[in-house]
Amino acid sequence: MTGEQLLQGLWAILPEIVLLLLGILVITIDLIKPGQRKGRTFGALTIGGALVTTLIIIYQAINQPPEPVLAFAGMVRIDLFVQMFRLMFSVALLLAALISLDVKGVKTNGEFYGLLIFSTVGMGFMAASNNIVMLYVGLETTSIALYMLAGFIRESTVSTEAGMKYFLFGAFTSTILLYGLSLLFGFTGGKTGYAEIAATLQQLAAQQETLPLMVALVLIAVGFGFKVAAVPFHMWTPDVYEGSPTPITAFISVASKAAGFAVFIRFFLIVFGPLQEQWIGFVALLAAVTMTLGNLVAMQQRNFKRMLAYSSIAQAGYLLIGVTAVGELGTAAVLFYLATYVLTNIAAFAVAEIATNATGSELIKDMAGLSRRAPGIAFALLAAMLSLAGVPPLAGFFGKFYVFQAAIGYTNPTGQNSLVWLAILGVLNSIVALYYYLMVLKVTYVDRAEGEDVPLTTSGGFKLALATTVAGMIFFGIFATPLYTLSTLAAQAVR
Amino acid sequence: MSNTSFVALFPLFIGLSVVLFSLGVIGVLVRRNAIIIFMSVELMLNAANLAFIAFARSFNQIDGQVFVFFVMVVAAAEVAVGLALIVAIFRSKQSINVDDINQLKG
Repeated sequence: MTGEQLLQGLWAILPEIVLLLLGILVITIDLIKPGQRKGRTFGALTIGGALVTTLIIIYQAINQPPEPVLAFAGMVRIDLFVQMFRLMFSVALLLAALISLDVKGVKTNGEFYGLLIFSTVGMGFMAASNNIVMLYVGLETTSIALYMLAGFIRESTVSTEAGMKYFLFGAFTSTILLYGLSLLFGFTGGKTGYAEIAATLQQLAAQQETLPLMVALVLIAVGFGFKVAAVPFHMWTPDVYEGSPTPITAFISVASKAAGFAVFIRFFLIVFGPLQEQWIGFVALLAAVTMTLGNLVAMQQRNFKRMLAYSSIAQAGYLLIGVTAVGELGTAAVLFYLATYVLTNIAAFAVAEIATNATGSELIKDMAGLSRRAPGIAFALLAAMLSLAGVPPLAGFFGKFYVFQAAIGYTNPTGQNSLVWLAILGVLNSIVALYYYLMVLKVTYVDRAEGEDVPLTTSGGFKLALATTVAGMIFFGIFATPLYTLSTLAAQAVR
Repeated sequence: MSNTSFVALFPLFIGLSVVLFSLGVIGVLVRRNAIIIFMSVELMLNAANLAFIAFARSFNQIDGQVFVFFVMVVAAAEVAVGLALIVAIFRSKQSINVDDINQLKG
């Protein structure tokens, strides 16, 4: 490797380097600074670092050469697709740090912010991975930090339980993924790079030798299915979402899911591209079951965080429709959907944390009277719920619209469209989902509660996070074109 | 090991790896003690490692052996976090039986 190549490689992974140094800095300061004077140092550092990273990513994306940059002997591949995912991760980190500033048990803890940053680094490498070694290491870097974060509040029995469940499911499924990778390595004659594996699979598919490959594909899909919380690998989701500290729930539900979709798309479209005909039916079934089960079970929930967990399973189902509709249209739809979903879900969980703080209960029925106690926060909840339900003019509407459009516009190699049923099922599901999203709004806006004249005060971090996300939801709902153009450009870069 | 004996033994290595992996999966699904579940996961990891090494040797591709080192590092990190979480759950519930870890449900 020449010096110039090394510099080019370091420039390509600059966002991850900055975040890594920031994480080390935060943990070091946590060690040396006396306990009582820590205050908001770490939160401020994390927010500042996430802002700098976001700016670096935007700068890199603007100056992105048309050809993908391969760095470190092809280990990582940076293109617009990766840049867009990195942008989502750093924005999610920023918002998660903002809503952690006033959460009991985590707000002044340097390790908490450090782990949050390290897991973001892992996600960046997951999205940028171009080799199965990099994929596995990135995935585990993300997951191990998140296991610790889910169980972070050791005094709380629910938090340790959430961490434990997340850990056992995560370790189990990522090992199944690893076994799938080892089989893929063997069946392709010892290839680890995505492009080489895809080329070998092309030959094997031409010789009709796909059955052993399907075993590897299913094992790998288990690992990715866990990350994106797709049925039947979703069992951990409600428990972990309910038990974890709320900022972490928000972070897992958006950033970790987005990272899962980044590798899902890369791997299934590029590496398993030659086996497309075999896996489309399988993933379509996964999408159908995921959204239906997520929505049906969400309706029966009484705990708000648990309801949001099932809602996020259902959202994974809609996103999988976009993966199933292979190609630019589908990928662009997934990217657009995820970008708006980051804003929407963080807003929903921020409101969950505020309501829990005010009433000491996570139940939906205890959110009654919120609109009179805090009109601004109730409005943020209104925007988030309607955006999740896909009501215009909010950003979530266009996300769903593009995903269903991609499924209807999909044609398989023989020129037929086999996904119209999936789009119809998706539309039916969004109608069902309206019920439970509107239920929450009914409780907050119509139901009366004792002590509803007491105004609810919220701290600056929450207000800023809610203002940003709501502004984003409304802006991208009215001016969807710039974001969709970016998503299309990013989708074109996958090939 | 000479190359001829490796070629003869190669199916056995892969077979052993499949057996170890299956035992690990059964262990995770059947056992109720968190530490034993975790040990079963380690068994699965080592099954994958064995498969990687056997394939790497048979194709003369060093990548597989390098991958195994990464897997070992990741496994070590996972052990540290996993055991810490098991200790934390034992402190709060005085049990590491996964059937007793049932406060979150709905």
